[in-house]
Amino acid sequence: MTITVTGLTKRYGATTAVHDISLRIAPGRVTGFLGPNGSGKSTTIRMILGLDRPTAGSALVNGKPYAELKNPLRTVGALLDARAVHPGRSARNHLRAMARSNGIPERRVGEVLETVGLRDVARKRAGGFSLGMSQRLGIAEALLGDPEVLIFDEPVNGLDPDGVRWIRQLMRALAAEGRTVFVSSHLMSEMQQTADHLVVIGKGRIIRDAPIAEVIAGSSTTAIRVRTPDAEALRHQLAAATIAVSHTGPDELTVTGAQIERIGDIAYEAGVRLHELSRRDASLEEAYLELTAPSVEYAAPAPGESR
Amino acid sequence: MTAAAEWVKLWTVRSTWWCVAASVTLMGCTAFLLANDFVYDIEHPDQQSVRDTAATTQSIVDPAAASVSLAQFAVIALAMLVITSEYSTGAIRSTLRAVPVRGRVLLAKAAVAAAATFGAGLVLAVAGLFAARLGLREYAVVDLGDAGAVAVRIAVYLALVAVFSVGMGAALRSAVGTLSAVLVLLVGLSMVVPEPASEYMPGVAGGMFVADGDASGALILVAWTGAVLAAGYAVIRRRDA
Ligand SMILES: Nc1ncnc2c1ncn2[C@@H]1O[C@H](COP(=O)(O)OP(=O)(O)OP(=O)(O)O)[C@@H](O)[C@H]1O
Ligand SMILES: [Mg+2]
Repeated sequence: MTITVTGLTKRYGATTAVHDISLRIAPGRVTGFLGPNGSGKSTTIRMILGLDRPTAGSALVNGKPYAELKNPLRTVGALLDARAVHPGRSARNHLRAMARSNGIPERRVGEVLETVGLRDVARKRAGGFSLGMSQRLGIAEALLGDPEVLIFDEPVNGLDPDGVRWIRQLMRALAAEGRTVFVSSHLMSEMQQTADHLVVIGKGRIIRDAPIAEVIAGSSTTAIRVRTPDAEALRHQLAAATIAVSHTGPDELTVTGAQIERIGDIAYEAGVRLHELSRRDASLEEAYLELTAPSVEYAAPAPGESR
Repeated sequence: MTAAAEWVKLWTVRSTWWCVAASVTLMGCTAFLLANDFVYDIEHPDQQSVRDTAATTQSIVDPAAASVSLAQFAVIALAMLVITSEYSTGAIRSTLRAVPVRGRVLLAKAAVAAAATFGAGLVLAVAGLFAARLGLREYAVVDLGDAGAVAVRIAVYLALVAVFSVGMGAALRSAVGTLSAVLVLLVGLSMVVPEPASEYMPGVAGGMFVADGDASGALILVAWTGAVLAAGYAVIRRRDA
């Protein structure tokens, strides 16, 4: 099942939280949703789930607005704020009520509590849960209806390393089963290991919507290192081919924005001897920071910098 | 299914049980005190500068009916918490994801609050009648037909007040705002609006229905309840959760 977002816009008074975004979130892969604080991720997710009314545009799940889904928990599972449970109600009773509202058999409650590791505290009041436990309860709720579409807003928030790894494997497994997984996160190293596709948003607009490999390869911080005794000659040849190149050592050049094969070919044609030709991939974090640098709204001053 | 889920939610928080217990206790204590007062007045005519009645006996229905105006506060709390607690905790987002048709959520909540308070209303009416019987001692007049009728009227009245509170909760969302607005409409208006017009205020009309079975009082309260529920629906349908 596909999530289709078309021209989605949300204004709160004078602020435009989401500005005319269009997306197609495909099944069978994990789509990461990245962006600085306040860039509109949660707002977009709330609109997809029918909680907030778009100012303009539409969000469809499997071709229908969320509100028209019959027993929506069986189609779309979601984790929003972890603490969206009445603190006085037990985890089990919360899930029982959710299950009952969508005609989900009661045995699923025990199953999902087991899956997220909350079986032993199922009868405890949710108000006493730690952040990580609340997060697990939210994930249990998302899985309750065995849905084809899963939407997680910052799921690893508060999870211990074991939990982080567990959720990564869970998301990979859900996508491998052909489900649609849409997940927002600020943890780039985690996303790099989990996502197949990325949507990067800044100030409510889409900055990039591409496979993760493309996002990383497209970063200017993905660089090719060339070591050669004829550095100066090669530098001229590359510059002539309008390739960005810089001297980074006596016999070392760093090239950005070009394919490694192309550099090899140019060196060969120029008769330049190479001692090393290697690629150093940007990390997702570097690629992300570069993409979003112009749209960071809430930046802290660098340490030592006075305000 | 939506109502069944709301029923589970209602009885799986402690506040519901506290409110039921509080309303029954309030009802019993108030009815007993009112009855006791009546007996004291009869037995100590010398201490009365003005006797407001010449009666020497009282129906157990009277103290019971009069006690509802106090006992209802616990019922209002129970009903409004059905919705305001979801806004204050964020649980409304889970609820609306499960049932995105908002009118259905509001109706289910109103129905569940009404059913629960109707049941609780019968229990507390019986408690009030017993307490009145105890307090009135040999001055009590017991007519089981009257007693049964007043019990049903109390239960109906409280169910309507519960729906009223749920509607107000949907419109205002905050517990404090909802409680204030319900109290102003139900109690405050009765005190500030002058005589003939005050009969159209929900509190006065409801009180007349409970005490005398006044059908127009019931209709006026139903109309108010419908209006508040409609206001709640208008808000819940449009506003972001
Ligand atoms: N209910 C609301 N009323 C007014 N403004 C809002 C509301 N919800 C969000 N906003 C504003 O919309 C913008 C986007 O917020 P949103 O929560 O969607 O960002 P986000 O990408 O999820 O951020 P974060 O990474 O911090 O979770 C922010 O400027 C925020 O202040
Ligand atoms: Mg957010």
